[in-house]
Amino acid sequence: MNSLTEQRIVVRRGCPEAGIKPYWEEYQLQMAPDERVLDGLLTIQRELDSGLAFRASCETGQCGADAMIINNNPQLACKTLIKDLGEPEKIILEPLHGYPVKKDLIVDLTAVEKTARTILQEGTVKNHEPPTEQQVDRMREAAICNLCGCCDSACPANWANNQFSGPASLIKLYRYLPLIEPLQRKVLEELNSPAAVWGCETEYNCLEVCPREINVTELISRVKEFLIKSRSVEEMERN
Amino acid sequence: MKTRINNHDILIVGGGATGLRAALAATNKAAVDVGIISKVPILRSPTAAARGGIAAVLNRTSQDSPKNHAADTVRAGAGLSDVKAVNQLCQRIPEEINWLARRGLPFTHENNNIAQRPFAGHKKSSGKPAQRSCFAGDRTGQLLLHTLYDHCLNQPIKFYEETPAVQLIRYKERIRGVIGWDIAAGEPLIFLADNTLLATGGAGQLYEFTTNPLPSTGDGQALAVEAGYPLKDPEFFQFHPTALARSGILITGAARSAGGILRNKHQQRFMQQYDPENLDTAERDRISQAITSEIAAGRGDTADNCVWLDLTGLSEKFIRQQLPEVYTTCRDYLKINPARQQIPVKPAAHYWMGGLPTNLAGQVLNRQKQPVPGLWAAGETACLSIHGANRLGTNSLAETLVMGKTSGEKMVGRTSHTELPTKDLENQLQTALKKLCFSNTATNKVDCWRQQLQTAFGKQMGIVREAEGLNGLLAEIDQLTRKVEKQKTDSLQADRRYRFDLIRLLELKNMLRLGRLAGRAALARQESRGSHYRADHPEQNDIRYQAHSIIGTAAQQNKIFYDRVKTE
Ligand SMILES: Cc1cc2nc3c(=O)[nH]c(=O)nc-3n(C[C@H](O)[C@H](O)[C@H](O)COP(=O)(O)OP(=O)(O)OC[C@H]3O[C@@H](n4cnc5c(N)ncnc54)[C@H](O)[C@@H]3O)c2cc1C
Ligand code: SF4
Ligand code: SF4
Ligand code: FES
Repeated sequence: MNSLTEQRIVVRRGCPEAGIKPYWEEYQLQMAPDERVLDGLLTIQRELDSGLAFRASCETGQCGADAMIINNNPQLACKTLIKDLGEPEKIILEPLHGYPVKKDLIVDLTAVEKTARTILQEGTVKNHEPPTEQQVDRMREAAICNLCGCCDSACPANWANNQFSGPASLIKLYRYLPLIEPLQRKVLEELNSPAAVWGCETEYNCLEVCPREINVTELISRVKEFLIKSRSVEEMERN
Repeated sequence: MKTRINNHDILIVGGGATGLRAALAATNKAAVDVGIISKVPILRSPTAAARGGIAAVLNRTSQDSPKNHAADTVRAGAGLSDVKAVNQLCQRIPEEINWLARRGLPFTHENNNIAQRPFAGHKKSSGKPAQRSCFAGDRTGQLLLHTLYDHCLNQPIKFYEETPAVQLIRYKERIRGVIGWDIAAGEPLIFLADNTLLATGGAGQLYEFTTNPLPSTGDGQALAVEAGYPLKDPEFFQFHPTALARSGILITGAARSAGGILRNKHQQRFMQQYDPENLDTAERDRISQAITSEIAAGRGDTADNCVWLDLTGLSEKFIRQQLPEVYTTCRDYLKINPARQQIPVKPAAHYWMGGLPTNLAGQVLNRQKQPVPGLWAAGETACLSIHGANRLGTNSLAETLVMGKTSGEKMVGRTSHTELPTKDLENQLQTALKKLCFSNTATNKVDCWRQQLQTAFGKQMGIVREAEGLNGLLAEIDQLTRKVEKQKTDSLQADRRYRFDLIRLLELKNMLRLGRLAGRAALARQESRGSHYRADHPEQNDIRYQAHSIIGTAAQQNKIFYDRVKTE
């Protein structure tokens, strides 16, 4: 069952800041079907090429560090077993789309933090009553997002519209909605633009790739509903 | 000097729950400027892997109070817990939970209140399981980490991610910051601060079979030892009884508290033999030792050396709601449904009770038990002796929060007036950089040596230890250390951006340093206590060893000093 087979792992490498243009590098190694793609990368780093750059930490799908494109799908290398891939001729690994590449499989995800920065302004949560059970349950649906970036990488609106914040940011926003009512107006202004929630064209890719199984599209729709219901939207449109 | 210097009032090394909580406490208390440096991006910190929950008594009743929580913690600590530190933890943690809830950590609720579930070793006055664990499914750590981080973003806190600390900066008996390495740029960075907090987490990567994430290599502890400060109780490592047999992925203890049963290959509930009172919710050291005995007696699985965790008494709905990560872990990695099939599990290294000795405020103590000016430690890095010889589940996250907050506040307002001469700094920088020098041909060897260390450590410093094996381990560590040192060359490599092999080398050196001290302390402690079990000395010996091992100042590597626990 667990016998070793030869795997060809092909990695999209490069380092724009150092002027190294993207190129493909192929590695061959023996792997068992129960092993994770991450095990392959760690073996490469240990035995074949110590310079290959990728991120990893928990190795168990919790922290979101090792999101990458594996045979065209954004997913976590530590949650993808060799046998999950069928029997492809090669395993092709690329950095996530939609984020600047730093080196090899490492991308810069810091842009996603902007949302949290905007909505959790100082004072937001001061003197605020703790959220209710129902609110908390909804918040948790989004809070299990570990900001791996897979959804952003799969979202066509995110590639097409560089103003759109991307689904991951909206998930972060959804998570804190119950806490930010005191600041509603300011937040609504931020949201009610093509750059934010209306950038999403409800194409469901995000939900298919989310390793935390968050119903990303549904949560974004709830943000839209929230906006529509809120009178402030009409007001803003009148102005 | 060419190297960039960053000045902060407070420098925090490590961005797990401890480091972030400390930063928020400091900036909340006063207008201070805080820098946090982290080896991995903040959100990938090992705290993200924590599952089961955070212990706190939220509702005092005649049956449960912080006093009961403290009594349980001390009992589990097998004579090595510090009662004052434990009381401080148990009294302060309820307030932390409410603070987090108000900031948007969506704890699982029940009847409009934060739900609490039982966890092994936590008991009411009546002896029945106490419900103290506050949780968010079984993804408590990830939600905690993100909540803290989101709130840090608008504070005067500067983050330096993927920037490991390489060496402490010391001047005139005072710690003045650290020398770090910017992984992205491939250059050193100097951080100067009046106060430096080490919050780099544990060192479970010393073991081959571990639940600990890759960054847990004990860097903070090793840097302090290198600077001349001791380690306390390094022989005490906790093994979690239920990690998946092949990968070491953790199945949270909450699964046993909810009714999970451990079985051997004859389907016997073997805990009936080992601890008929507490059964599958006995403390971790007892269960791990029981599983090891079952496997040794041939009653485990022969190929994978494991026993089984049986959750088939729980409904699929319950598992999916309360233990979602158990469900998806079994489904994704084993392709089984835990509500229908039993899970192959065995013990894995999980938590390091030992660490840097500190006082109740979080100041690191030197061998004379005096605070080292400018140096602090908290969380898994520190050994405040809350957990003693064995930690109760859910008490560690509690410690990260309470001690993060306490040390963060206490660091405010302590300034240093000594100027650090540039020449001195330049010399320290050069010594630090030497640690990252090695020849190109050696790069691939580093990870192989790391594996060798992990294998040897797992074998000899595991659940069962004895003198001969420990001596062998120490010899192997010496040999590996010599090999690593021989590889030294004088210059850094040319291609330095994102060279993780440089970091692996640094980690290996740190782990060798700590592994040697832990091995020596384990060899010297000729008794069994808590997580430390010596086959050649199976009895607990309070007369000689109800004491903390203090080991490892640079000058006296081998000498162990026993600091007796005061018993009231
Ligand atoms: C799988 C698992 C499950 C657990 N579940 C629970 C639980 O349910 N309840 C509980 O109470 N405890 C649990 N624990 C234990 C608990 O999670 C840890 O003890 C705790 O999270 C440690 O937090 P910390 O802030 O001290 O360090 P960590 O979270 O380990 O953070 C360390 C930080 O230091 C940084 N760092 C490391 N080295 C350097 C360096 N050289 N320079 C700069 N930065 C550095 C890292 O990047 C990271 O940011 C669990 C542990 C594991 C492994
Ligand atoms: S549903 Fe919206 S956010 Fe998700 S992939 Fe489609 S456009 Fe992007
Ligand atoms: S929503 Fe899912 S896919 Fe998107 S960043 Fe969060 S965890 Fe990743
Ligand atoms: S390494 Fe943490 S999610 Fe894969």
